[in-house]
Amino acid sequence: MKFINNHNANHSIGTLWLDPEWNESLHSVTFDANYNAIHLNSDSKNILVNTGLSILGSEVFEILEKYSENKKSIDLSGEIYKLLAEQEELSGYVSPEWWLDIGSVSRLTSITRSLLVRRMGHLIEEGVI
Amino acid sequence: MKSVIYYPTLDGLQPISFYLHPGLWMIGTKEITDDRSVNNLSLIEWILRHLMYQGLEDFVFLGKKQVEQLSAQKNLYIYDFDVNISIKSSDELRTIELLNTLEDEDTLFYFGTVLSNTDFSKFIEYHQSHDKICTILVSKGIQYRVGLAKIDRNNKITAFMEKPYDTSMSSFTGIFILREGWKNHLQDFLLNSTIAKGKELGRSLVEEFIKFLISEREVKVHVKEGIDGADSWWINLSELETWVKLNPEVIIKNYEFLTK
Repeated sequence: MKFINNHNANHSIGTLWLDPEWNESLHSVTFDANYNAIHLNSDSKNILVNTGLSILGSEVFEILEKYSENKKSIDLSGEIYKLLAEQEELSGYVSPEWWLDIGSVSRLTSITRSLLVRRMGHLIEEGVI
Repeated sequence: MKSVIYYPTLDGLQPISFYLHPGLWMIGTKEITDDRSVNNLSLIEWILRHLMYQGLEDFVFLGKKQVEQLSAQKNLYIYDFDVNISIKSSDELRTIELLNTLEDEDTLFYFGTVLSNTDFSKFIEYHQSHDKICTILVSKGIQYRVGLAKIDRNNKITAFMEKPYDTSMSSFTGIFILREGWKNHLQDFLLNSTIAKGKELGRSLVEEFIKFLISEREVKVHVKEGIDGADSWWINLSELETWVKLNPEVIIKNYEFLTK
């Protein structure tokens, strides 16, 4: 609801849910001019990650109609988000609430029932799911 | 110099890795035959051929008990090469603790799902040119696996980049060299770091040890270079998705130096 309320209040055509506390390691390294290592894995801070959740208002179809005249397909994240951002019609909803992308085999096999119950148990108790 | 090819628990390759050790997964473009040409080699064989090409001939495979599958198959890849191969395996000890069972000598540690065209001679030469305990091998550039956004003070998104490749950053390949005397540092780490007592997840505890060495100002960085002036290339095959998208032609092309 907070996400939807945020979208309704921000007057943009689209709103992306962004996570400021992404913790997947990139194994990044920083070093000085003499090649002394300074940091390892300090990469996941100060970036905003697209969680894959967005709300798009119906106005987006007018924009897409003009944009897609000679196109067979349009990529959501590669094109639509960029297009809306260029037109200053895309806002970010920055929230560190828990989320999990299980779109890869490794992530799917690493989740456990106890993790899901711990994180989402309240939704079961409340009868939401 | 001894080379330790280490395999921590790799969640990213389950469930297939339960049945067959990732080091034995084949990469090539031809039907599997007895042909010993540089094609259709297992992951461990690509690694060994590369390291042997660069004059390394003393190897340890280190990991959970399952790593012994590599030993059982070793007649396949040592074939007619004169190299030493031994195994350090345990289901009880974590990778970082297995490191503690090795001898304290100059050692190259190689994360066993990485393939590259790195010039290891230059890497070793650089390590020998300074007196720090550790040299880590890094690659220029980082590939994000997520979309990134920038926002202004009103939360308007000013830029959106889908899975960008950031050339301003460098990434750790999981490959490093430790100088004789490193076990004192490892024992310090194991005794005094609360992180070291935590759960192992992928290569993270090995990286925590390197972070510990960084905090002691004992780590130098070597930006990797390709063999014979080739563009630097590497791939980390620690996720099933990377295998699914893998183009064997790219591997074969980048290992062309093995055929010379």
